[in-house]
Amino acid sequence: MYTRTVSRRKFLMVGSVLAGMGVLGACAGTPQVVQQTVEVEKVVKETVVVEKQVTAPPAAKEPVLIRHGWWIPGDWEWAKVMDRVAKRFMELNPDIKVQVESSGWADYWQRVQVQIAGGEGMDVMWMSGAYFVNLWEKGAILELTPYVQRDNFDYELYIKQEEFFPEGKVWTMPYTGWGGQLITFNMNAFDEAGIPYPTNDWTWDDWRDAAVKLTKREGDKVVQWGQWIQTGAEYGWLRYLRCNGGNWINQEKTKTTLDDPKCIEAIQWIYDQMFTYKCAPNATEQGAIQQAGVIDPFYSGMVAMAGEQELRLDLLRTEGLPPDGKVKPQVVLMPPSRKGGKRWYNGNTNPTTIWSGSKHKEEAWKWILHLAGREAMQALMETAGYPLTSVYKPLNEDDKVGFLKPIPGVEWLNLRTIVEALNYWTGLDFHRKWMDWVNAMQAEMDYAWLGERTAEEACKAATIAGDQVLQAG
Amino acid sequence: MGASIPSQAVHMRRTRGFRLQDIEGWFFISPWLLGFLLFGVVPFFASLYLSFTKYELLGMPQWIGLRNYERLFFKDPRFWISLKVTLYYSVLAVPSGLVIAFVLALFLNAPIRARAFFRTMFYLPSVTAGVATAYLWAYLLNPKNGLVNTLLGLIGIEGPGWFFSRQWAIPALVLMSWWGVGGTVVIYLAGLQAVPQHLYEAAEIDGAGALAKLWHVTIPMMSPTIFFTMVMGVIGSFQMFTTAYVVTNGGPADATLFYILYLFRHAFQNFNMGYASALAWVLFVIVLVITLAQLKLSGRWVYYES
Repeated sequence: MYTRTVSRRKFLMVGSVLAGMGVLGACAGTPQVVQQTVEVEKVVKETVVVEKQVTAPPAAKEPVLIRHGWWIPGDWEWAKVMDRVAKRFMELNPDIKVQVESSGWADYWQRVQVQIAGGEGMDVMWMSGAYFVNLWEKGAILELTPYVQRDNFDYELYIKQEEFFPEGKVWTMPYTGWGGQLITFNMNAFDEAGIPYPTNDWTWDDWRDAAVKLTKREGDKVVQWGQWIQTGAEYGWLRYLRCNGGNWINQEKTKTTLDDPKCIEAIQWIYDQMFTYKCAPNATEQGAIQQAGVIDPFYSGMVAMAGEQELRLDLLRTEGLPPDGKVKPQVVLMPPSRKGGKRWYNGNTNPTTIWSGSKHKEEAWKWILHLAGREAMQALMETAGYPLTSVYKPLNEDDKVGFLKPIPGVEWLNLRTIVEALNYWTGLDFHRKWMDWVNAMQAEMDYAWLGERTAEEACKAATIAGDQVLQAG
Repeated sequence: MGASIPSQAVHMRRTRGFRLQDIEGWFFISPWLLGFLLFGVVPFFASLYLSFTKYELLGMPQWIGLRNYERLFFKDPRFWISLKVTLYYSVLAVPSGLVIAFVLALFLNAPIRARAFFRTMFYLPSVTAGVATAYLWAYLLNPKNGLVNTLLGLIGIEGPGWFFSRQWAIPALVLMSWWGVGGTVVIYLAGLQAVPQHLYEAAEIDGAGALAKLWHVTIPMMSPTIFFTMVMGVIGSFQMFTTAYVVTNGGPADATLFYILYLFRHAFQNFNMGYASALAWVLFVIVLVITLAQLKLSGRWVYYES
């Protein structure tokens, strides 16, 4: 064994040299394609100053890469449409390459936040109100007002959601919408029970009574539920509150209002069907059905009516109805509120945004402008399905394209109802504590869906839980 | 013989300088060392600092003193719920898992036919992916047509709602945790095979039966191994996450809102990194206290032969 020694001085010298090399190496960064800036134009409109950088194409003629993030699975028909739309855009703009990056809902928001924090955010982000406020407050969203004004983009042609316009400015571009709440029902089930089909002047009591009559039992076992009401918040019970004239939060978004009698009445209506009339599966029964591998209780024929059913027009267009012939779907508007006689449905738009740190803002703008255009909207509407709706109003009334274009094999489907429902559309009132707040309320409402609390008790407990989140620092 | 070795060869001379051998040593372990410092030590202390800040990932952390801890202990009932759920699970899952693993190890240590086959079979589930196991159990414990409730129905028992029942969700997860005792069984098997045979022979000479040998020889001799698996089991139970996330997502009515799941939501759903760091440090202290208590109490029942 040898034991050659190095003096401390030598060690420190060698160490310093190595450290210096490391620092220099870190400063050097990675080789980059050289881009020559040929012009910097300042566009001044009113009080807004925007620096518009026009850059010359790189020497290698490499197209500028725009990363577009969203949370739609790649095997959905809708994702395939996005690929087609991106391809078309790249044909029109050969100097821009669009890279669509897909991830699951939870992963997507982690990626968005982590990548922005690391200075590597996606240029274009598909946005949800649940996270928009936080990102906007942190300055991660690029203001689009100057772009909209410069290119005369007419936002009035689109359905707007107020939460996306803080300070009265434009931060997002329209793309998709969810909602316009409908009752989806199986015409075969109604025929079999000898009950007339629902109409747009149905009341809440008519709806419940039909659910009772449509529930079929064999001994103790239910073989067909009259009604399916999701026990989750955003796509379930929350939506019924406003339909009954109530709301879940005050206008300032500082106080939970589930203890409002209108809300309690709406929850009671759901609760009664689960535990009094037993015409709708409760939380345990729903869980058992879904855990048993039933992906869609409505299309499996287990449910005669559903208030939040995804019609999946995309599947109807590409694959048609299930071959067993059990289900013949139809849609009708939900009844107007008992308190005030209005129709109120919850919807939600998912616009596109540009990351404020993007190095390619102009190219990103071109892309989201293309997405909001008629061609891209038409491609989306012809493929996607309710509750995904178009936010582009002109196409919603055009019966040659979009929703109103008849679906082969399902020609009877009243697609105009989907468009009509958009007239009663209201946003979800997102706020910066949305996810935490919904989780806290859901935990309390679960007691009602398990039958362990009355509707009123659950609403009051959920109000307290919601307020605790709203008031937390 | 030892006296013939020159003393300087045994005890290397210390000098003020660094030996090349030392430098080479540091150089070779530097990848691990750097990784440990960058991804272990630095985040560890960074999270302590962040627990005193309001930090939402984007933007800089803002120092808020003890406000995260104040909120946690006095204004956040769901913190207490998550702690209660985790403790409840730990109390049920750890002792039952240890007993089952021990009994299985005794069985697999006995001279039975196809012993190697059974050892493999019992170990196999513990190397199965957690998510796959979770889905499998979700099917088995389906309240309506799952195998478990169907079998219970055959003997006239109406099975519970399992994951959809507030009362049965945790027991269902405990049941699932037994599926993964294979790892502990292997440790116990190694321990059992290290118990000196002459102790059993001596006990037999004294007229000890099977139970007496188990109680007076096997368990005392295995107590260090049992202690180790208990400590690891408790720590593991406080880190329960995957199954709850996949199967119940904290429901119904927060019945399976495990501490780590709650922490995860704050960190990666709400992006309250400062608050999540405070939660993480509280958990660290709880686990540390429990582990120290176990160490302290171990002197009363753990027997070290040496």
